[in-house]
Amino acid sequence: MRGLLALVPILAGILLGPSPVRAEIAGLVGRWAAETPSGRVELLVEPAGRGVALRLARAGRVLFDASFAPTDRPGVLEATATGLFSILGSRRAPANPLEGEELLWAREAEAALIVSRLAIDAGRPSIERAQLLRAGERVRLRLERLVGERMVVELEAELARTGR
Amino acid sequence: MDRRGLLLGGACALLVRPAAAESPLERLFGVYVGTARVEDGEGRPLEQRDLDLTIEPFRRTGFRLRTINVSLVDGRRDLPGVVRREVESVFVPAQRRPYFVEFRDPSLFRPREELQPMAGDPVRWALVDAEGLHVYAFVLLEDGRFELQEAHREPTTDGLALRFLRNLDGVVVRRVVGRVVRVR
Repeated sequence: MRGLLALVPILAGILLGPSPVRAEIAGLVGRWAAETPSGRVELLVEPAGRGVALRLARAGRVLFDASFAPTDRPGVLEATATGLFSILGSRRAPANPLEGEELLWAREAEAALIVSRLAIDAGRPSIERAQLLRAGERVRLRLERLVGERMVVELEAELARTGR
Repeated sequence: MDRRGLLLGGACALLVRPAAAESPLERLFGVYVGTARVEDGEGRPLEQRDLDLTIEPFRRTGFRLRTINVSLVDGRRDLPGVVRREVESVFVPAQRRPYFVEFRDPSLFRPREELQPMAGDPVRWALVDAEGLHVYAFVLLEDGRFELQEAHREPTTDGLALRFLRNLDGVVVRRVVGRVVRVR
């Protein structure tokens, strides 16, 4: 009997799949914006299955635009396929940086969602990430980029909910 | 000039033709020995190492990198506690890209597997430029943070200057600085 009970969480895991994103992350859902010295920042977060779809743009330039689904690793999300790849039946987005593709992933860090990207740019690593944290009625955004040895903060802003 | 003269002239031209210039990669081929200092991210010394390094051609366009690290005890390699590590990696040119990728040998018994960085597969590549040889390894950790290792080997008048970094999610946590001289 005890053996059967031990199987319950395993069976539940198989039936339910990876855990959905946490409530704090779900609190990011919506349309957000802020005016910054480097231009208008716009963020759209929508539920997408058990994960989220996210679009972040600064001064009209799209920084991140992807859907993320939970993986078997708690709190880690992978980019899901869109367009032709999803039509062809692939769940995962192509993500081999050695073949010129971008590796996009996200992780839940306490109440924040951190979305990251690795690409190989002219043979050197290019890593960017956006940290999103619900702070009261706003979303606190921090954009970082790998410069030399360190992640350097490029922008910090507080985004307010917007109807547009 | 008659036909014999033309042939002789052509032969002389071939003989005196200068050797093709070495590529930046070929200039690095050799055997080196030296030392390195290991520091934590704050620059505090952790240990001293002896190094053996070999950079050699692999299948005409690639290269093999062999490193033997000996972590010393009190600056000596003849005391208990000394650790010796051998690391070998092979890189071949990436298709239509200006860098090298780790060679993964597809054999009859071990078909080539697709690289899956999301599952924790290390992404390894190398760049050779005018400054030297730069090897990178990226791993997505279990909790979604990343680790990026960089090893830079830059030619000096008598060998190579070495610089290694281990970057944990954007913070340098380990640094190795050293130099090796060419012995072959």
